[in-house]
Amino acid sequence: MPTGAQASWTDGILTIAEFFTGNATGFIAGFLKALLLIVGGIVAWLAKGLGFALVYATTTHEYTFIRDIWILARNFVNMLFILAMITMAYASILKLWPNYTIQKMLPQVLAVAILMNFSFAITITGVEIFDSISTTLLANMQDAMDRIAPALSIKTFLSFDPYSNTASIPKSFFSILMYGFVGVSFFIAFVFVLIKIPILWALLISSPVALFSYLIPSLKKKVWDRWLSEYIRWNTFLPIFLLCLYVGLYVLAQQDAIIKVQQPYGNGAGILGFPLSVVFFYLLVGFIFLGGTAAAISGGIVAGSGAVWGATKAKQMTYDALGITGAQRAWQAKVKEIEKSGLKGQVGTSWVGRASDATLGRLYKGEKANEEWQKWWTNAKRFGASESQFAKNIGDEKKSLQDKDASIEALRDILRKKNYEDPETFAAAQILLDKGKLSLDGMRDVYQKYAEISPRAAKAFGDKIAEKVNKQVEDGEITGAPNLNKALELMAQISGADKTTLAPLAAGETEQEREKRIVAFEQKTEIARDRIKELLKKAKKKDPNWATERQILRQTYEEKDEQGVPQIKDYITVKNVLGEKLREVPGGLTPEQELEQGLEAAIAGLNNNTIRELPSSALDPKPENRVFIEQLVKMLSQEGHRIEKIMDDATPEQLRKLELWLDVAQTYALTSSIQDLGSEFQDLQQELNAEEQRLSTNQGNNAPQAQQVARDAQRKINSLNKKLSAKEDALKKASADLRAVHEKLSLQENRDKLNAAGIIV
Amino acid sequence: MSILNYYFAAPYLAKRLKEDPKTRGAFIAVFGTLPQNIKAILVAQETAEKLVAFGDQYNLKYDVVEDIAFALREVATRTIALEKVPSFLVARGLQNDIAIAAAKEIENILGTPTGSAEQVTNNVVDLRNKSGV
Repeated sequence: MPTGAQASWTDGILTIAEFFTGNATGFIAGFLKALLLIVGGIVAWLAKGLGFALVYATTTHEYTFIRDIWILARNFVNMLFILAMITMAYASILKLWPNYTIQKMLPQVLAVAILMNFSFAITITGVEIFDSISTTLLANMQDAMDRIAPALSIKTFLSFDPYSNTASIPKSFFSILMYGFVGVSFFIAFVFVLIKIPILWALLISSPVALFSYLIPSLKKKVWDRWLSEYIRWNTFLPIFLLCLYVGLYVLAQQDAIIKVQQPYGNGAGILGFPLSVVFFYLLVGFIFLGGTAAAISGGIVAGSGAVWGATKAKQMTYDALGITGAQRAWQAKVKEIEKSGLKGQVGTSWVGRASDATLGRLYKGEKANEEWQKWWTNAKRFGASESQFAKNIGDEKKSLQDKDASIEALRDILRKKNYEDPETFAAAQILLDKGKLSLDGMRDVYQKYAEISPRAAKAFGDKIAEKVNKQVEDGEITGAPNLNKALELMAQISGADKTTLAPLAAGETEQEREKRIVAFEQKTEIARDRIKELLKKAKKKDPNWATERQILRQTYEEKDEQGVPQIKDYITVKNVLGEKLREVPGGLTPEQELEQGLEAAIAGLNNNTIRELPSSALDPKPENRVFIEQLVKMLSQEGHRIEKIMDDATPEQLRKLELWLDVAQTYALTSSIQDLGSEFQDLQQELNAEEQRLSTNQGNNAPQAQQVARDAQRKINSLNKKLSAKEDALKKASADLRAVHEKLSLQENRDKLNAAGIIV
Repeated sequence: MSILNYYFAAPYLAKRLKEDPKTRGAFIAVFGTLPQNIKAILVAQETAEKLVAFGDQYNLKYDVVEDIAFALREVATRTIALEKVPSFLVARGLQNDIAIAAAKEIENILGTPTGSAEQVTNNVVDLRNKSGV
């Protein structure tokens, strides 16, 4: 038998002549023996091929011709950049494609333009880094070919001699199977190692195009993400495969030791005549080679996808860190936000002495920091400490009350004092709640106080309330419509579905902050709705005759003004008011659609963005849009800054539809202004009369003091006359406009629209 | 800023009650194509406040302030040139010097690069001389 590295390659290969000269005992035995020898030969040749491919794939190549083709691709993409700039210019000037304006695209275009020209160097560096890892692994295995071939020698590999005539049919069959594992693994690896090379070339060449596709949202996912995924996948495949191969070879080299270790557990007949220790070894080898190859292929895919995910996540994290949540946030908005809330980093707790030195928030905290400081200081003064100290104080008091074993009555006495300056009150409430002895009114009052002082503590307390109330309803401890209504109201309050949550854009609040608040509200209303539904279900189980869900919701949330007209209280009321109206319409909406519309209308009535984003049909004069339009008109007649925000980003179609509702809103605004002006005019007139009286009384008097009073009165009269003249002018203007707007609204076309919407002007 | 003042002094809303639907519709179409900063100026409360303050400074009636707001809108939509604003306002009964100051105010608000206040003043003086006002 030849020795040495090269000679060992022929070890596993038996010639056909050898087969025919063997003493096969029967046809099957002979066939299997031949098959075994052929498979062994193929595996050995595959090992040789794989060895060659591995060396070739990890050798540094001259990439001159690839670079030439890459230059062509780069030049082509550079031309595309000119096209991109023109597109951006048109998009910015004509507002044709809002996603491609200069404000949104410029930073990306610049970054891609620079990176694209270095894409060859960057991608080739990546390839070389992974190749160096592979080379290191190969060197670690010394000579791959030398290591693979002897290990695969049939004699070494099998626990019997295939050249001998003693090899049984089962042994031969089982050995072919084992050999098959290794062969398939080597074949797949061989193919992948070979095709890796041209694929990486193609990826190198296409890198400028891939980078350019990053700029086009519709192509980014298809081209850039895929390119990056493939690039990582084909680069990581080889190191992973080599690692598995190294383990496999090591196991093969340790064949004797492994079989020996297993012998005490499997020296019997085993399977098909093999001892169990040998079967175990074959299975291990098969698993390592096949599994290793599969892991290398799928591992590459995972690594590729992971890289794409990582890149996206990294970008998002960078944006988050910088506070950029959307390209559409213009620089101006950002500056305003920073002015208001300071630099990100520690704003949430940015009062002097608490912010970390390392944070940006330390550098510039903005007005928000002052506000938060004021808020904290107010509470600190009240409780002698911060929120956490407040919680600690309550905890101490609670412990003290528990130690004293205070009776329920004593705890209720503490609560009845309603001394919310004292942490003992909260402690008593907590104990009563734990014991299920806190009334619904008590829960509401304490929760409200908690919310004023510490939102964090309020949330924890609210969750506990929700849990207790649910249990009490389930146990039948809360019964009857008034109590159940109270419980429902409490649930809605805890979930934040109240008017305060829906407050319009607060003074100085940025769009970004408001949007966050709206999102929070939407989430809360979802929770509220679910909680209420859950509660109703339980309540109905206990008291089936209580009421229908709809009736309960209406009873609970409907508010009426002096004239008995239902007023909007929150989203559920909107839903009901809208629902009622819809039920009058033949073929009205389903309850689910009602709910959806109601929610939509409620939210839309209170935030500009939603109004703009709503389909234009929401402004159509139809009964089902009445609530929405009423809210809109109410807002348009009261708040200039809301009109400003809505108009400056609305589409012409929306603006045209809004014209009618602006007319209605102007009617309301003018009517109310005329009333105000009228009363101001009367006040001024009375003041004037008084001054004139003072003047006439003192005018004839020659005493210096009287003369002075007369002069003062005259000055005031002049000033009042000026003011009166201005008011008169305003009144005239308002009256004339009111006439004009009434005339406009009395046109048949407008009257029809108003009637159709059920709006009375 | 009262809502009443906003309704007549914001350029987007100025004189809307006196416009026929066709003209108003045409303006809305043009408004939709304006750059965002110009749109914001036309609907901003701040603009209305500035114009009302200008009116107070010169003791102008509300209708006149509305005319100035309307002129600003016309300049922004390029219906009239900034140089023509003084004559546009003079034709509506405003004194020459106040009309020139109003044009300057419009230029300040729009920050338009179409011509400096001095140029506007000179043009107006020329116009006045030519027309013999």
